[in-house]
Amino acid sequence: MPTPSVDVLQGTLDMLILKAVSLGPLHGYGILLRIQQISKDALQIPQGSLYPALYRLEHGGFIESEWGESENKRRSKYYRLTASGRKRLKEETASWGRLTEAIGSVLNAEA
Amino acid sequence: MRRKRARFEADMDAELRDHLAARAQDLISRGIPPAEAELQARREFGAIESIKDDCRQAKGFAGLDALARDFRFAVRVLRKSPAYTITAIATLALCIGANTAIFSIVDSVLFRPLPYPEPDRLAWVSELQHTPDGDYEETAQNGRRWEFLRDNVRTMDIAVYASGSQGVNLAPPGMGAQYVKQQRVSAGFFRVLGVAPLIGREIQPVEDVAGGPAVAVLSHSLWRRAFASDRAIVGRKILLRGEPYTVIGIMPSDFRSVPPAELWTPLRPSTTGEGGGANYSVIARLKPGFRRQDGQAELAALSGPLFSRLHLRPGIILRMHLVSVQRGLSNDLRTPLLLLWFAVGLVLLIGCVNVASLALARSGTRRHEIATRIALGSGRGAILRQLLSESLLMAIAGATAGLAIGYAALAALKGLLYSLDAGFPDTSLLNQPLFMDARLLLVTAATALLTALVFGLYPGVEATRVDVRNALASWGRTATRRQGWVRRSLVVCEVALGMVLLVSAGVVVRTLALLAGLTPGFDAGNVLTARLSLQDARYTTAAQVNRLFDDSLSRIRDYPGVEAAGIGLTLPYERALNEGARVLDGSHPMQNAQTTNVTYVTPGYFETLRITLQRGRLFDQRDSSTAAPVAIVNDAYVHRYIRDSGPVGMHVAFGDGKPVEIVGVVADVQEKRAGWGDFGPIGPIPDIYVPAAQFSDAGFRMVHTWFTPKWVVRASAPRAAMEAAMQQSVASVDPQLPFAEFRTMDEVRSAAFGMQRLQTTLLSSLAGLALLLSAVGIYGIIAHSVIERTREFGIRIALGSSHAKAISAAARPGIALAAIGVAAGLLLSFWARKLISTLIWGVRPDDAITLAGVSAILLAAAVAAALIPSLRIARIDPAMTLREE
Repeated sequence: MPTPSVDVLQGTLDMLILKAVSLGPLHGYGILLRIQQISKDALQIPQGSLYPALYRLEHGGFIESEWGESENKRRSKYYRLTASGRKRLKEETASWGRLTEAIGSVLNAEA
Repeated sequence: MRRKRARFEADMDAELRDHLAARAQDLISRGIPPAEAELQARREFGAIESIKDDCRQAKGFAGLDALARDFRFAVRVLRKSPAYTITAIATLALCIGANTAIFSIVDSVLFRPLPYPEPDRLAWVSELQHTPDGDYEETAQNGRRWEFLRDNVRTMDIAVYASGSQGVNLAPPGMGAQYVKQQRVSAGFFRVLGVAPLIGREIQPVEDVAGGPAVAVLSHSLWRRAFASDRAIVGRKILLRGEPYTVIGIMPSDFRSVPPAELWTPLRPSTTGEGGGANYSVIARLKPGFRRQDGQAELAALSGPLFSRLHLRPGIILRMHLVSVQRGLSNDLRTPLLLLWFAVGLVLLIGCVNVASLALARSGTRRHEIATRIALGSGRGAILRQLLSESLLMAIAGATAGLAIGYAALAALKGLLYSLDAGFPDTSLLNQPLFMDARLLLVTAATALLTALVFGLYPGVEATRVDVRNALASWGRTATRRQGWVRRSLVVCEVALGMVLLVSAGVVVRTLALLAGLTPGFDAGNVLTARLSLQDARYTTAAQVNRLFDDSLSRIRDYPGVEAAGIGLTLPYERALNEGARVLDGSHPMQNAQTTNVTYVTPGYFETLRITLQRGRLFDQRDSSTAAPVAIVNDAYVHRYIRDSGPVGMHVAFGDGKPVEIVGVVADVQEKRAGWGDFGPIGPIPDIYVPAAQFSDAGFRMVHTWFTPKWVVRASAPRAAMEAAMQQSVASVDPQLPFAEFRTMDEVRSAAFGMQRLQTTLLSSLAGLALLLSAVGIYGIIAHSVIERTREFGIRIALGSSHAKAISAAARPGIALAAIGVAAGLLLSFWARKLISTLIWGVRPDDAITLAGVSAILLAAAVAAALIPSLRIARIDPAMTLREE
């Protein structure tokens, strides 16, 4: 693999999924591809761990699903963001921003 | 919920399939061959079942799901080893079944409160005799004692009734005469019990005195059966005991007296005649505001003045006190029942030990499976939960099957008990109906659950202590030393407990054999008997009674096929009348009267039963009411009291009565123990026979309130014809007299051993069960060790050992364990011999023949149980074993 890959932290996976579906409805495999594509293959998500996260988010009402037909004429389950999901994504993005900024400033501080 | 769940599963499956297909297609498009692509997609995805589980959990389907999965898995595991599963479930079912059945009886007799309001405030006034040999409880009271209590007791409402209940003759309008069970009770009897009549009223004090109005209270069932539930019968007269009685009340349908009766008449207590002896029972109910202690204290205070006049032997203390009605009723049954309960508890214990040892043996073979699961990341908690759910599943299956077995066993026991009751028509063993109730179900369920825990947890804990690397490396071939030790001890315990049961059953069987083997002293063939109540207003004089005897006998003797006929107050194998008598002359004349059995008989009684005349003569027409009084004694009487070589011609006297000449000596017959002397339950008891023709008016009246005389007929005619003939003969003399309880002498004899037979049946069944379980236990342990050691035996044989040697090496530990168990069992039964001694008679509780026989049986079973699985070694192919190495 050309770029070093990073294990996705538990919790950040939820954020990534919300971000991926915020750009339009996607099925599970599509979500994986989208995350890899956006991160330029830097983030590797174990395929199996995606689904429990999807189910958890759906159970929490942040995303909703619907069966539809995919580009390859297969029946696939599509996930889309709900209103509360959009709110959560905004909050998470803001807090992630603050966190990285804070950590960055710590790491970049002159000793 | 279930449909939602099914859709969820289908959706999830479809979604994951879609993912795998999409991924595979992606891989194919990168040039990977389709078959390879599919595999790689799966590989990348990870452990699909565990991911599905995570998904279910994320959706909130987790808790119940894990349980259902555990149980599904448990069913699969159990089905994979049917022999183990069936053995364990059958063991549990038999143990739980036996416990359920026995507990139903124990509960009905000892625990379930009697069906009266506030049963805890109801009690019997009884006399406790504290002697150096132990304490005796005596609930029977005499008339003087009753009057003292009636006049002095303040804290309790008390009533009295006749201890024995007898059948009497009832002639309902438009129906044939009937023999119905009567109980004679004092005024206030129903009030003390706390049950008011459904219709009418109960007996009043003015009716409960000599010469008072003749009144009767009917049971609901008699009212329905004989009077078609006619409410107008209350206040009218019915023909009872040969005279008119006014019906004053009907009891509710759920009322039961103890012993059960269908009819109640005033007792009219007295201090002479019946009241001169201890023939009454006194019941008491605490008055409001008084506690049980108050009642006990009052009785204790009254005991002083009451007993001070008696001259008691030193060391004997008499005290009045209260015993619960239940306790008093079940006095005789208490010990045998508790013992039986103990025995069945032992069987359950053996069963649990057995199942535990089986589970333990299996956990040995499952070590590899469990180690694999632990290595794959399964938590120890999950494994434990899994093992526990297997046990629970088996316990539930066992309990369900056990309940069915218990139900069947109870039905069989009911049959046995009721046939026993038929043998003692005047007393009932079961004062309450026998059934399984909710509490019983609870006890059974608790037993099953406890069993599940006992046998589920230990192997579970043991199994999860597995050293994963070791277990995987050794491929489940060896059990740990520790486990082996525990299992071996379990088998030893099992055999030892089984031994105790077998010894108990053995001595009880020998008791029964001894009793049944006693020489009856008469010839039972072709003899039919029936009883007739003469507690009847038309039979109050000796002349009336004897006319009935003579007329009915002469008509019966006229029937074709009748060889002989006679009448006696009691029969062999029955309990006889007790009376004091003195030997007046000979070498050992007596100062004071000594208790003996007394039986009046008509001419023909000895001839019909073919009781051997040893000396002198039998009774005949000479011995009339006007002739000199005569008597016949039996060998036992001569042996115990006369002790003289020439009893014929000597004299005895009853109480202060006239001298009675002994005209003959007859051989002993077996009679039932009658509450005096040191006889066995059945034995040759001293008896004086007197001619019915010389019995007094008062004597007939008194004995006929306690006993119903029996007609005995020896005839070659078939039984049914003979019954009809007897009924007809008596009806032609007096149409109001119904014969009751036709029995052959063989039936009379076998009824006398009813209790012993019941004990024997139950104890032997339990002991048989214990034997079977112990054998299964040994079989299990050897079968298991043979499987574990197949490799070892294979190598031994390959190295030149013979099959026979290997087999004996495999079987030997089982036999050794059994031998240790037998030795331990011998020690245990030595300890238990005091308990069992109350059930047996004529056999020592440590009877050598029984001990030897039982040990031999157990060891034989052990040898068989150890050899059968060991024979598998004969099929070992040493070449195969070496190749596996």
